[in-house]
Amino acid sequence: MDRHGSTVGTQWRTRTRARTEPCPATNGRPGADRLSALSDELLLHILSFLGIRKAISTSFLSRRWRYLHHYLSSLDFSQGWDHGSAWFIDRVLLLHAAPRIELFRLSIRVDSVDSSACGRQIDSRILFAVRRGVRVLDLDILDEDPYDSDSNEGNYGLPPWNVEDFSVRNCHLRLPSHIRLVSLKKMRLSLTEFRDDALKRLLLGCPLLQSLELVRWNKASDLVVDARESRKLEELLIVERFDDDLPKHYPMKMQNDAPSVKYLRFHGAALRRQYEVRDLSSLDAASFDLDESRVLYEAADVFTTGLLLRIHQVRVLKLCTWSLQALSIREQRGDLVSAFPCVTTLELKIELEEPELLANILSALCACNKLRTLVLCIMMEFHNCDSDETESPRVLLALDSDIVMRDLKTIMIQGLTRYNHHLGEEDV
Amino acid sequence: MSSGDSGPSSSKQLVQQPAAAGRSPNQPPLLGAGGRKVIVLKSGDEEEFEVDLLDAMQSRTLRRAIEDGCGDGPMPLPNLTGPVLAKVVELFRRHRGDPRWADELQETEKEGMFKDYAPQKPTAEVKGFDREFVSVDRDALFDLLRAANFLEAPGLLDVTCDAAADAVMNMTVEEVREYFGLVNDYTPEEEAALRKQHEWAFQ
Repeated sequence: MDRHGSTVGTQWRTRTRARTEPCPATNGRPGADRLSALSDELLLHILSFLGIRKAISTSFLSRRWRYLHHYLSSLDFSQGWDHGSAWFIDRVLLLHAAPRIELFRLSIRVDSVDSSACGRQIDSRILFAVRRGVRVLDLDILDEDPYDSDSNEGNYGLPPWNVEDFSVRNCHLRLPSHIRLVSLKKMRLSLTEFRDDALKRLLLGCPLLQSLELVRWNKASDLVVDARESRKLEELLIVERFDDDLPKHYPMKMQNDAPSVKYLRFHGAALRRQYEVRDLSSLDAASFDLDESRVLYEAADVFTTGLLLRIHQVRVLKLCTWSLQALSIREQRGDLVSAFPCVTTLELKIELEEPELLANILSALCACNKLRTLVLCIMMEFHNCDSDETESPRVLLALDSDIVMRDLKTIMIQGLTRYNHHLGEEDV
Repeated sequence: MSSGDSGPSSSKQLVQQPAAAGRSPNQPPLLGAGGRKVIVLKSGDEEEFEVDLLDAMQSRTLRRAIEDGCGDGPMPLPNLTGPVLAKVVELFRRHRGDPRWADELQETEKEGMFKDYAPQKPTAEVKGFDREFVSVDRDALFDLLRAANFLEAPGLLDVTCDAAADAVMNMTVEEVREYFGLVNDYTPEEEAALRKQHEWAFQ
């Protein structure tokens, strides 16, 4: 089979980084130890999929494997360690010998009895990863009683953070104010609370940030994205869904001020009292996927006027059932006449349970009169082939009234395979 | 860098385009049907495969070669056999536009996705394909691992290494040795001492 060690393409051999891979004479013979013959790099990559405990156990295989696990480039402590078994983590870190690590994932519950000591331990573990130039840092620190790491600010400031991908979950970790994450490209904050302008200060320290994800973030206070200084920030994902018994509508507002953002995705539910778009002037594509079952008039109206109708320059728009219905509320007021004059691609994710939704689709089409591509993702299968509903798509495509679809070139239907041929006949 | 025809002469000619002789290294690679750029890869056993340029770029090794202007003629990959290369090419094609697979192409692909709407590939289907791709016997998996390592294709490496890890995940140390033909070169005393040393990790 594979004859390793023969010449690589002659012309570009020089540039190809030679990967030293031992080539024992036994290679290829049945039963030969081809596994141990692989390069350290490759074996470590395999070990990284095993989990740390299992990786440690490979040291019993043979001498070749004895110290391999000390050089893992990804350290994933996300097995829900409680504080009691935290010494395992520290032991692994103590023995770890790789000069650089790629990924560090820490999932830990803070001991409520001695939270400050626990906090210091967590700090030192983060520091371990940062000192080794970690690229992906993922922290999930569950603490009922938020610890204050401000006292340890100096620790964070010491080494340059090479982190490119930073996730924080659960913890109320207070990051030091002068933090500089000069390589950071992607940040994900979930289930955390940032007080005052902490996010703004954090963003100021991330000049290269491209993607920001706020997942169930700042439940108890306003969600304010002030990214005026983050000139590279292109993607913004907001997920709002708080599964607890707090009041249905949070008296908090959401404010977006991110002039460089091109792609906005909004998932979950429209829960805020007020939505405000200060500056989303570069926005090119927006996707709304809200899974609320009921459309409350007030919430929908606030959402539509504050956010949905304020992004009229987008070229790609994806709407869910809820946002379609919310949008249609404004139709009677005439707000939808070419509300999205630039949209060329419209994707509608529809749960077709009620036929009156079709009217909403029409109003969305009315709002986007430069449409070139329409994508319908129909989420519900019709149970009865003979029902009137087979006619529904026809109604949609019957070009009556004042809807202009002069530019429409493509219609894609997804999820409704059974009726594709009907629609095909009526392609515009 | 000379042009591509300095490589070994090909026995089969799958490309329709005129021979690459005389093309300067800076010229774009050959255009395939539909105007997409294609390159030709040649396995150790002289089989040739046409690959979309974007797909080939998933491999850092191939990308370096292409950037050096070696994409004009058939590109010889003597240490990959035809069947292995066929599988790899198919996997690259399946993962076209997958940002995790084509790290530096991410920007252009993303731009393209929003410019002219491209429907998202059903990920379950791709994942199913990945699983099927590595559902092979031990020796074939090694061939794929080595191919991934040589081609420096991050996605391919992940899929194959994950499969290798899966294989050993539920095995005891003894079973792993048996399965992969590993020779235990510890003395029994050494091994016992080592296990004792690592007891802390398995409590």
